[in-house]
Amino acid sequence: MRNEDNNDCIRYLMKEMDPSEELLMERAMMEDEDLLIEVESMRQTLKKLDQLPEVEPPSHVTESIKEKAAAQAEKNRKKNQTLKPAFKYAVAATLALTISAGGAWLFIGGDGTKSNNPQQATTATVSSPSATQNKGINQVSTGNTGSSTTQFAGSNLSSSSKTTTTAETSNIDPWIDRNDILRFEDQFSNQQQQFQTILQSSTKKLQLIKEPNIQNNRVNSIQLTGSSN
Amino acid sequence: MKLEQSSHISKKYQQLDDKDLVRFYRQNGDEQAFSELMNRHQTKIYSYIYSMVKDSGTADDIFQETFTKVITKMDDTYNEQGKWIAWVMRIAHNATIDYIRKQKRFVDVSSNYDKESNTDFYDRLPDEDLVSAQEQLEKDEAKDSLLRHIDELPEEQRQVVMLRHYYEMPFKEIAELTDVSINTALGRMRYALINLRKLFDKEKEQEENSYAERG
Repeated sequence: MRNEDNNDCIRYLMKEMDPSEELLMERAMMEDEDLLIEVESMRQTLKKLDQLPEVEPPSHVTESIKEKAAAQAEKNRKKNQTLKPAFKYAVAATLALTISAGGAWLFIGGDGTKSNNPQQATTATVSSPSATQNKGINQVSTGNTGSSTTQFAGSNLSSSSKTTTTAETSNIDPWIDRNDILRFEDQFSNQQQQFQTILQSSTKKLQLIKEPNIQNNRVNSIQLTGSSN
Repeated sequence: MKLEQSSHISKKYQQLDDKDLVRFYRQNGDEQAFSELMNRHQTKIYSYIYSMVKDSGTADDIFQETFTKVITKMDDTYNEQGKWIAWVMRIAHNATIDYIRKQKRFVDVSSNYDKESNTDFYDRLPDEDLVSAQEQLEKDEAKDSLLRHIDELPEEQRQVVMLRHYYEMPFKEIAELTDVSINTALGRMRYALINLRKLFDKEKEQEENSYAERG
């Protein structure tokens, strides 16, 4: 019999077997009388161990330990109390620092995009001569949308025979949907006058951006054709 | 009022499991939580130490050393995922084994006599008034015999027997605690029982022979 098999007696007696293993063990005991005797003999010896006494530690020892535990607890509490305000200050300082850094980043970063975007600068140069005329407009385009939006605005405006670069210009050419994106005109096929009226009133609402330095990256392309409404 | 409150708190703590009590002590420095933990386990821990060293003074020292370590090291070394008592037991076991190794000898197997307090192992047990004198005598003899035989076991077998008896520790944990494989731990228990049986048989045989000689 292997050692592991011998240990099965202990595992069985100590109830450290799975129910399936227990069943197998019981079956083995039924078939092997020697195994049954060995297990029962061990059970008897094990039962004698129940007589082992339990001894209480002396009360002065336990009291002394409890006092030590209380002292340690007090020490930990004090440590926590000193740490807590420090922690609060640390959190407050971190928050203040984060907010200041964030603010500074927004402020500096916003300005920086204007001057630090070489792609935009190139686009502005390439799109001349209209770019020259529309310098103010092109400067508005920044960031991720800068490149495509600038080109779009530039090409559209350059295609116009007379560009609208100043606020004084009264002769405003409307944007023409050359790519046939909008079918606005179709809706007024039989009402030419009404269409013209709407077109004119809409065109009048268009205005140039007076302060192109104002940053609003998300709406740059809209600003180019935005209305006061 | 204070007493009632205190009693109420005690009852509350009695219902908590070790894990919660440990957390209360660690996080809030809750002394009552620690007291409850001690009340639950002190007897078994002390019994184990005492059964291994057989000297009350030494057992007191080791017990105190164990709990001093528990108090001071709990924050650093105790991992809450493990059983607290298994962790404490490891400290107690290591302290006991260290002491025995320092003494460079096994505990004197023939004496249950406690030199320091001039008492026997059983003198510290609670009185059982209801048991008749004869029954008590027989019981004491049986205990005496058991302890004597346990003392005769090799140290590693005795450790396994005590750890299993006082803590009902699974063999997996006993194996971890004593740095052996689970089969070795099981084997030690098995040999301990076989040896104890032989010792009891031998004792019985001697008693029968002595009766026969008298007769």
